[in-house]
Amino acid sequence: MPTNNGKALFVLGSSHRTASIEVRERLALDAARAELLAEHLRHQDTVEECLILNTCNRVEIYGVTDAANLKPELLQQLSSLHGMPVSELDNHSFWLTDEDAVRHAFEVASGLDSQMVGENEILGQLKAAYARASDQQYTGRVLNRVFQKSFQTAKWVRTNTGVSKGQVSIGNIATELALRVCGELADVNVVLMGSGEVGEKTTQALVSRGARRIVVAGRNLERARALADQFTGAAATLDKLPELLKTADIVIGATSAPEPLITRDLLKPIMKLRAVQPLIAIDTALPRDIAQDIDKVNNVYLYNLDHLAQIANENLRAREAEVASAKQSILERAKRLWEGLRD
Amino acid sequence: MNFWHDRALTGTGCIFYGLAFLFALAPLIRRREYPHVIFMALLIGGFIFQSFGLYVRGLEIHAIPLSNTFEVFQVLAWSAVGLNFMLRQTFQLRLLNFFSSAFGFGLSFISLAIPSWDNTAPPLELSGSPWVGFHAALAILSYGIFSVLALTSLMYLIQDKALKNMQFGGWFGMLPAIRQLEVINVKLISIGVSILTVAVTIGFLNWLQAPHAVGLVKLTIALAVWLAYLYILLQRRRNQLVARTFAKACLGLFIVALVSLWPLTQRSPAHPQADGVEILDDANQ
Repeated sequence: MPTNNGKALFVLGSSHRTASIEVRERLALDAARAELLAEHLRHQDTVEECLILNTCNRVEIYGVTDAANLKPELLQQLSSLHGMPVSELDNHSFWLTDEDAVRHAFEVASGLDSQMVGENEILGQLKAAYARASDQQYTGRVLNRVFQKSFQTAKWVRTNTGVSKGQVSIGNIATELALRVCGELADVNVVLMGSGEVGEKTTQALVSRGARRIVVAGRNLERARALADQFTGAAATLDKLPELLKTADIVIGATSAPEPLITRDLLKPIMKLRAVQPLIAIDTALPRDIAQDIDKVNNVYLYNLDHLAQIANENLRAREAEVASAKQSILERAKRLWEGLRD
Repeated sequence: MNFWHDRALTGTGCIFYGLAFLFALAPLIRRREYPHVIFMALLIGGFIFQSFGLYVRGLEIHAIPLSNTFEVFQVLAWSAVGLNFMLRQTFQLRLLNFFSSAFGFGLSFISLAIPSWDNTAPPLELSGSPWVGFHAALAILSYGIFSVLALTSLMYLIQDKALKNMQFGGWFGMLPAIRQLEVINVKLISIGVSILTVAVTIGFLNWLQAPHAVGLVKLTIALAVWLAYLYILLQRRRNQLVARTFAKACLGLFIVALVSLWPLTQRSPAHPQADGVEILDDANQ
């Protein structure tokens, strides 16, 4: 495997392309575990550089190694971390090396590999992951160059191709769904569970379209209050959730809770009390905050990340030529960069 | 049968409704908005021709044109389109015009396409019993309201299905909001049931005066439709029938009520003469 002065660039990952939402929520890492994994990898003799990209739709480990066959070892470590058999993990993951790994990093940065093709949020997440890894000195010559180039490539793709043309954000989709269920947003009650970035942006989009009654519910009341202040809303702890659901029109899941906070058993009796009032449940969290089977409850409309991406990609066909052109350009850029790194 | 003029006018109205429907349908299939000015010109044109046709028919028979199935379907289409104009303005219900054009065209076309529905016997004078005319007018008005309720219920079900199936763009986004449709549905069934209750009460009083004039089938169907709508309204008020199931019930019952209009407009065997107000009984015979 080693091809660059005896060293190879690799990426081991699992994303929406290889794993269903059920598998992805089992593979999701919270910030602490992601940090622990990065630290553990970096202190291995076989991994010289490493960066972990951990978002709601992907967990990817980028690294540089001189080991001939690192993949089984990494899979074994991840298997122990997630409590998932190696064979199952292998089925739901991908392994790329060298030029392919560079190309993948470029496509991720450009939003071409995103579940909502052309979205911009991934670039911010990748930059944040790179900043963390760089601060910890986990990155070196190869990863620094690959990711700096990937940011440039992302900018080029957005400026010179139409991959983001007509692209709608989760916030815009959520707002449109809310308008189709509730009509006016001025008198709707919005409950934001947690403080996840996507949930926060979704709430912001609703506020910008007229929503005024916002409650942020979190484990930490102070953090919830700080976020609620942004929307001139109220704050509550998560144990008040059943009470909040009695009047909520829109509930947004954005916590890092390992188990669903809203289950069918919780919601069904509440919906009976408010039978004529529909509820939109938008789950931006992974692992999910809202159990899938609540969509069977009368008058409930549930949307998770897969659903939102499906809606966002409705106009993808019109952008396919742009995506193909961007991918071709990325392929050439990745080839040039990898050849440069080998010299 | 000197009905050529009124049939030509109602036929022209039907063509206008059909053109309005097709004119809007083509862009909607391509997920685009349709030009509202031309659409509205066609729909209003259809309504004017149909109104004039029904007016001519009323002059011909010297009665409210409700003496046979053709006339009942025409008046029902006319009242639904007319109510749509009012509701569209009052509640800003997007796409209701489009659904009304389809409904107006469908009902008008069927009634014109089946000539036997227009086999009209000479009507009797209404002057002897103005209550019968009032009863019939109220009954058909309530049916008109229920027809609009069926359209808004259909819109509710389409919007609900689109939201459940993640259908985002195109004409699904033009449909009114779920909450708005639920509110208008409750108002429509409340008004419709209230008017039908008055109509049934008047009909019942007429029946007490001349019980032989109304056949058992007619009486049973009329009462069954009224009771069914009343039951749905009460269940909705008790929050036992809401959202999708409420919309399904309203739509389903209207289809049944529409089918039941055929026997309601048939003459009683003992009283084969038409009286011009045959919706729920032949009480003035």
